[in-house]
Amino acid sequence: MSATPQDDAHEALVARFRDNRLSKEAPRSSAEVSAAFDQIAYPLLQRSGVSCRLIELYSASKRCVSTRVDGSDYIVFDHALLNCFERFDALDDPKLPPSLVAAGLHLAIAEASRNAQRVDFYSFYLRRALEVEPLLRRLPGKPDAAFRRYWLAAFVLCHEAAHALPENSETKLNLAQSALLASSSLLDEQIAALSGSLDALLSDSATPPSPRNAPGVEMEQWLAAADDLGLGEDAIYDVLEEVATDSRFLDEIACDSFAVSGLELALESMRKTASEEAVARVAVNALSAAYLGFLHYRLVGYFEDIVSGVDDYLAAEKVNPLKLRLLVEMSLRGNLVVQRMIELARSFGGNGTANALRDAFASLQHEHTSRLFVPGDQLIATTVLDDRFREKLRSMLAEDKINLESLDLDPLDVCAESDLLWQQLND
Amino acid sequence: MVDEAKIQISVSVPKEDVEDTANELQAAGGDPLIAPDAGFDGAHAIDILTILTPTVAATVAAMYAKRQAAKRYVSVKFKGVEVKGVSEGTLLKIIDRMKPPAAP
Repeated sequence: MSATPQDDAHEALVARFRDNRLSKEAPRSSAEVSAAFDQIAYPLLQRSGVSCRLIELYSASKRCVSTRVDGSDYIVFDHALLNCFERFDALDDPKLPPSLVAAGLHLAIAEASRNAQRVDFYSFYLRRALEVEPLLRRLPGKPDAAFRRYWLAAFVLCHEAAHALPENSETKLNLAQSALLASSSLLDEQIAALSGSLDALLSDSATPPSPRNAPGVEMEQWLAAADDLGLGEDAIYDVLEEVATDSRFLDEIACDSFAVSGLELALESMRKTASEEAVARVAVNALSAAYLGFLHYRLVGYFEDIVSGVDDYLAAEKVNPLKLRLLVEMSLRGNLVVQRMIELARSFGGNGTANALRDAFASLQHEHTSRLFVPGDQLIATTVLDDRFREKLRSMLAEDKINLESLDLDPLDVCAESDLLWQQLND
Repeated sequence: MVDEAKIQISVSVPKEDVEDTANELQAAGGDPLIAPDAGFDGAHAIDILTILTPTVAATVAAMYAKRQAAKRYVSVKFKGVEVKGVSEGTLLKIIDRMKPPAAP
């Protein structure tokens, strides 16, 4: 295909985005991402009169964003995000020893360290990730990996598409209104929990997450953590209120809701060619794939929260869960999106499908926590938060003649060296 | 790929200051590109990508000092890594380091 002036401009734009991140020359192409963009995100945006193009990257920041340049809208999709999540999927296997699971999380912590500007942790974790990579490459992927990739990419692309909607468009205004209501309702539930009805919310802890008790389960965890740390209910409420009324957070909820609508549109179109049962089955699996993305992102957010705030935690001699902003936000967003998804499942297959999805979510949440979050948390406790580890890390860096504090530009040197390893790891 | 002679940095400022900052970088010949870093994860920062030249280095250093003094958020990154102690000299050092080695 001959390059048009527009293609040249597009390529130049892609090059600038790549140059700004630690990015490989060529993004890993994925048929599922292109298909999800063409079949779901693009038509969804066009219904609102917006046209956008896709920019594909593969970078350590793993961030998908939407942006507007010279009056044109773009969705920047970072394939490293899906790659990271597929690695998590492969590690989510009860047969794997916890030590291997922990080793498999090293790259994610390295990338979180880079994003949080902790080049010391970045350097360490990246070297460890490189050491275990040959082992991890032998792990079998999930048999339905392509299916998961397609639906998760569709969810992320539609979420970003929502950011591209004009602020004063009817769709965006409606989404904002719904987000405000949903957030307010979530806050009410939390207040109810704090004001004494917690027992009622948690009366059956074996019950899978539901629109009613999912926030309650989160609250149970929060209150348990708060008790341990001596945090008061007021402090918890303040954080919840701050998050739930933050305009940026509300915008994210609105975009999540739009993303669910995108999946709904795609599932709806399947009804023309597939049976009701088949569509309901796909709906449960597709929505589970999207929800699993939230759980994975919560883990990535936890790593970033910890490494970026480690100095404060060490000074305070405790990790205050209320300061883990990304973790808190992703958890609350996950709870809200669960409600939308269960309603969607009900519309496709009635209560039976809604219950099947609820069961699937409960199982995913439980397994994700025990198989990935707990090993990740233990790894953080024995490294980033451990005095002896940090002392050892300092001497290791000194042996490499890298002194992070002697020159202003040294972090760039450490990164330059580590970035070469990152490129090697991702070849 | 971006022309290797064109070194790029990003300047992050709050949303309300993006336009003014981009205009200032444009005036310095930095060809600014606004690249929000808020995405699916809800992270919050607005990056302005700019080509780093000696003129832009002086502009960014002055802007950085002014914002620091006014206690307004600003962060300068090179390939995603924060540059500590931003000054014209520091930024010129980046240009110097990124120069291709001279032919023998």
